Amino acid sequence: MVQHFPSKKLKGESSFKKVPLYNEFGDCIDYRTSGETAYRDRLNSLITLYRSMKDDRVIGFQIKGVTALLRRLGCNVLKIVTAGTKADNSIPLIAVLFCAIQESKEKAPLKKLQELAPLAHKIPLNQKIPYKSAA
Amino acid sequence: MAHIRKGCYTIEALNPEAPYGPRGCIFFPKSLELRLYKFRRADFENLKNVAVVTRQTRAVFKGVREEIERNWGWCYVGKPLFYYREDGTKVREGKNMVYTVYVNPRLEIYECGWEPSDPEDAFCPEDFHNRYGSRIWHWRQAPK
Repeated sequence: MVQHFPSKKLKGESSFKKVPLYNEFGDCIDYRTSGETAYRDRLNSLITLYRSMKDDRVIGFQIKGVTALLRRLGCNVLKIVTAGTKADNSIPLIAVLFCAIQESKEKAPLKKLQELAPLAHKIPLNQKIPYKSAA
Repeated sequence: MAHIRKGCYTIEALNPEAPYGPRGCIFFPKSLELRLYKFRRADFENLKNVAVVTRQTRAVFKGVREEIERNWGWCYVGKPLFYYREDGTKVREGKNMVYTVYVNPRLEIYECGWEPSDPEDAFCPEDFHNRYGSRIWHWRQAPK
């Protein structure tokens, strides 16, 4: 019943982008600093690190339950928008990351936090999560 | 279970709501596939392993976001032999990993990826006892 998945007919340019990508099907955000193949390494219940399959270095992270985190930060979120949809507000990715570290009931192992820190330190403030506000 | 969903690929898999019954379907959104193709090419290339996982499922877990919401979603686990680089090159997987396919309550796949396997069970993700609500299917317990 699989219909040629993944498609061999997709066209257009593939270019890695070092921007947060919101996934509305899982309410999660993916941020990477490299396009290479990665594996997942759980930090806590809300954050997963991405590590390079080649040399195990941390190359990104995923944050889960993003809508709830934004509301926790005081954002009046109706919906987090994906590319092409108009947003009327936004919040820096780094703020959401810190909130996820704080909010998880599961304590993150210190060693993994130390590996995440240099990457987090370099996230520019203009890397933001756009959203539509509730009325 | 409906076999067609607009804007999605239909993928035959164990029915997560009745894993020991007849097989059912899960769905992969085409918009997500396109996004991965454009911006996460390595992840897109590794989608070839979704079929390996759904055809030779090793375990299924229920409740993948217990801290946020109990019994939310499922995780299908498999053990493909190869991973793919962003240029499509096939490489033998040699780090003792599993490939996980995460499904939301609407039966839509929202995340797929490689993870370290558990020292207790090479066909389950690391720390599976603590991470998920429950294991609802394991290949060693499947009827023959």
